[in-house]
Formats: sequence, structure tokens, C-alpha cells
Amino acid sequence: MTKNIRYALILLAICGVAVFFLALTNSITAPVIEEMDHQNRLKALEAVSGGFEIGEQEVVDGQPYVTYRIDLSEGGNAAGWILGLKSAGYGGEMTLVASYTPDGVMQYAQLLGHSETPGLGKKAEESWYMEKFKNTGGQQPVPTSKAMLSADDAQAISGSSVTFTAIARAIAGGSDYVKSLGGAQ
Amino acid sequence: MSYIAILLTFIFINNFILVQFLGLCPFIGVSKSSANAIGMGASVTFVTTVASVVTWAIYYFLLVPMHLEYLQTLTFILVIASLVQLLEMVIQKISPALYQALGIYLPLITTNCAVLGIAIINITNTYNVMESFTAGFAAGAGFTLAIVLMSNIREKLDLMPVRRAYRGMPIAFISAGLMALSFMAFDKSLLTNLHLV
Amino acid sequence: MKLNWNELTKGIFKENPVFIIVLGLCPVLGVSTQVSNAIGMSAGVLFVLLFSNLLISALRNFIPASIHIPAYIVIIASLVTITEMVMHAFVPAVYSALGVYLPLIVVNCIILGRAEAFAARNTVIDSILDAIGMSIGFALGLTLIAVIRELLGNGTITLFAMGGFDGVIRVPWFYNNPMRVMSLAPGALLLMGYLKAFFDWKGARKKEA
Repeated sequence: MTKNIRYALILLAICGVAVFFLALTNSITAPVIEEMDHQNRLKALEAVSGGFEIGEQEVVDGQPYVTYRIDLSEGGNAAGWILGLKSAGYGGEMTLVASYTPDGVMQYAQLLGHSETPGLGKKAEESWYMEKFKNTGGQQPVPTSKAMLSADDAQAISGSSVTFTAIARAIAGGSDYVKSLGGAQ
Repeated sequence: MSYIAILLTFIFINNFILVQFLGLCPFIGVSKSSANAIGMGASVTFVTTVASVVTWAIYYFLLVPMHLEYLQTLTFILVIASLVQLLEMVIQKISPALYQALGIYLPLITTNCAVLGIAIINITNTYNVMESFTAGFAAGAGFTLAIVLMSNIREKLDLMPVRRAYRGMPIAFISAGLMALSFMAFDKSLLTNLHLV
Repeated sequence: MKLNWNELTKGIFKENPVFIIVLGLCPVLGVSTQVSNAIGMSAGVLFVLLFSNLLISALRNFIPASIHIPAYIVIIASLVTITEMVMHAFVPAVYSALGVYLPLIVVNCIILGRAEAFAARNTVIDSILDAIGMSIGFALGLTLIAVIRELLGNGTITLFAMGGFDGVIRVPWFYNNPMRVMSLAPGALLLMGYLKAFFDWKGARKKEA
């Protein structure tokens, strides 16, 4: 019996030391990680804002793709929206931010986080990728399948059509959401 | 994500062995006979299913309220190790026949990447408890499918004239590669086309 | 004091964990789509293996035999978590590229295998040499596979961005004629099969000679 107690104490001691070191490392790295996430988000918002003033963030519930919205304005006049979007990609969830004009035309978009196959879905991180969606959602529909792209563009995304569809659907969903807000606000 | 989509994803599209390489060691090691493969597959499915639910509960009811998310890896592997031990004892008590069949595989499962893998993937994909349960079962089923198919191929390969350098593991890897090639037919666009996503 | 260099070199060639003993394959095949990922993974494995061998051999008289497995698991899992947190904070790109394979170092058979087979019954110095040798062997194997897969599959060699260099070497001809399948799962398994056959063939020839 005393042997078992001794074993338990040894294990407990090892666990205790381990948790102490983990807590120590966490206290060093957690602020760095938080700061980095914050900076990345700010940078992404800045990049998609198109030079307009960025307003307050509001949580959006009950939408398949939209998680939050931020209003854009210029000199007090509404100039559009930034939407936080999420969509299911090849490996888990992808999050992105995209800006729209008040009538739902997509302006700029940027990927925030994803877990796509390195080398394939990764293309979505490059700037030319999102250019394919620019100015769509209004007169011109968002290209949600390869068939809606020019031959060159379709070739460029080959091997990552799932990522493409996921992003396209999120952007189209965002556009519909902006239209449902009724434009002027 | 609907449950059918999760089943299809983990059994075919993201098959743990053939696409994500999780659980490759037992896949190569225990796939020499189909009886062993079925035993290993059943044990793994059982453990991934139970472990998915248990680790989910521990993460959301213990680690998140106490802000100890960073202990995820440590707790999960300890929970899985204890769970496997517990299952071994319970099965031995309740059904000696089942223990006879699965007993030798259970100790190997603690260090099977597939079990810890599905526990972590459930958390990263923010599944709820039912989705985790489904994903755990589907991951195990996908593992079983791959290992049983592989054991059938290897039983045939034993009777074939294979060049000496390729005998054993190399030809097993190459066969697995060809299997993975055929699994590429299952693409995420399957889910899109079936309107499941 | 005389260092036992054999403990260092055996992991690199004679007992190479990737090609000869075939251990810890999940990360080898999973992250070898890009050379930079392979290097990041190797660094993680080196850190964890070095400290787990060091701690376990230092504590080998303190940990009773009947509870050695749970004790080793706690030590290894803690080291892996530390690696995760440090990588997340300081090399976020590598952290996100490694994804689920980073925490899975815990169940990497190399680490627990070396702890049981070597560190538990050898001195601290020998264990450190063993860890370094095994890690180098692992790194060489993983990097070799990653170089071949990325070169054939994508026509590039991705290293780390430094200064004006974006970290991606685009290899002429290969860049315009990629064999996509090499970047995907089947390519990894096929390549592993051919490389294993090559090493088995070389091993057999050495024995005959």
C-alpha cells in the first residue's frame, strides 16, 4: 500500500513540475500570440477598408457565412461594410474579411486563418487570388464555380477548387447579406 | 455540417490513413493478415469513438472554464492512455471472448496517432458533442476500411513474385500509394455536389 | 572524459529512424509537402527528443519501473506543449503549416521508443548524443522526402524568407511542369515505398559484400 502511495506521489510530483513549466511558458507566449492576432486582424481590416473610416464591430447571428459586420464611412456618410466571413474549406474552417459597397459589390478580401493543404489551398493567401472576386456581387455575379472563370483563371486555381468554392460561397453569402441590409443606412 | 457530411469526410475524403497519414504505423505493421486487420480496426474504432466524446467533455467542461486550454495535448494523451487501460479491464471482465479477440491490440492504440489526432481535430473544427461522436466513429471506420483492404492486398502479395528489394514494407507502401490514388476520386466537391455543405 | 561517438552516428545511418527502423511516419509523410515545414518539424522533434532523453535518463533511478509509461508520457507531452506555444508565438507561419502534426509529436514512436529503449538505461551524456543523432537522422530523412516531393510536385524549394529573398526557390523546368500527385497523399506513399526499397537494397548489398 505504501508503495502505491509513493508511486502516486512521484507521478504527482512530475505532473506538478510539468504544469508549472507549462504555465510559465504560457505566461510568456500568450501575450505575444494575442498581440500578433490583434495586429493581423487590424492589418487585414486596414487592407480591405479601401481607405474608408472603420466603425464599430457588431456580431451577426443566424447567418450561414457572416459572423460580424463593421460599417465603413466617409465623412459621416455610409460607404459600405466589412464582413467577417467563415466557410468550410478542405481541412476545417476558413475565416476571411471582405469589404462591400452598400449595394453588395465585393471590393477587397483577405484570408485570416485556414488549415488548407500547404501548397494547394495556400494560393488563396496570395493577393492575385482575391482579385478574381473584385467588383462581383452586383451586376456581375460572384464566380462560385470554375465554369464562371476565364480559362486562364481556372487554370491558376487548379488543384484547389474546394478552397475556391468555399471562399466564393462565403463572398457570395456576404454580398447577399449586404443587399438584405437594404443598402442605405 | 450535417452528420452525413462528417461521415463521408472522415471515411472517404479525408481518410485518416490514406490522406492524412494518421495511424500509419499500425497500418503497415498489423495489416499482414485480414483477421488481425479486422481486430485492430474494431479496437481503433471503439477507442476513437469513446475518446472523441470523453476528450470533448473534458475540454469544454474542465479546460475552457479554467482557462487551461494550453494543457490540451497533455490532458488528452493522459485521458486516452487511461481510457485504453480502463477499456482493457472492462472488456476483460465483461466479455472474455471479446478480450481474446481485441486484447493484444489495445495497448498499441495509446500511441496510435489516429486517436489523439481525432481528439484534436474535433476541437480545431469546433464540433459539438454529437458531431465529435460522429467524427470519432467515422475516423475509426475509415481506418478499418483502409487497413482491411490493405490486408487483403497483402495476403495476395505474399503469393506473388515480388522483387527482393521490394518485398515486405516497400511494396506495402507502394500498394498504399495506389490505394490513396483511387481515394482521390473522393473530393470535397462530392459534398458540394450532394448539397451537404 | 571520452564521448561515445557511436551513439551519435548510429542514428544518422545505421539505425536511421525514417528509412531503416521506419518509425514516426505520420509527420514524415504529412508535413513533407514543403521543405520549410520539414525543417520546422525536425526542429520540433530535435527539441522534444533532446530534452525527453535528457530528463528521462537523469530521472531513471527516480521513476519506478511500474509507472514509467505514464511518467514518460507526462514529460513528453509537456515538452511538446512547450514547443507548440513557442512556435505559435515566434514562428506562426510554421506553426499553422504543421497544424495537427505538431501536437502529434507526443505519439511519435521515435520519442517514446528512444526513451524506453535508450534513455531509461543509459547515462545522460550518451542519451543526449543518441537524441542528437536520431534527430539528425530524422531530419535528413524528412528533408530528403520533402525536397523530392516539393521539387517534383510543385517545382519549388521553399525555405524561410530573409531580407529581399521571399524564401521560395523556383526551379526552372520543374516549375512549369509540376507533377501534382507528388504533393498529394499518394505521392508521399509511393515515394516512401521506392525510397525504402532503395535503402533495403543497399543494406542487403552491404551485408553480402
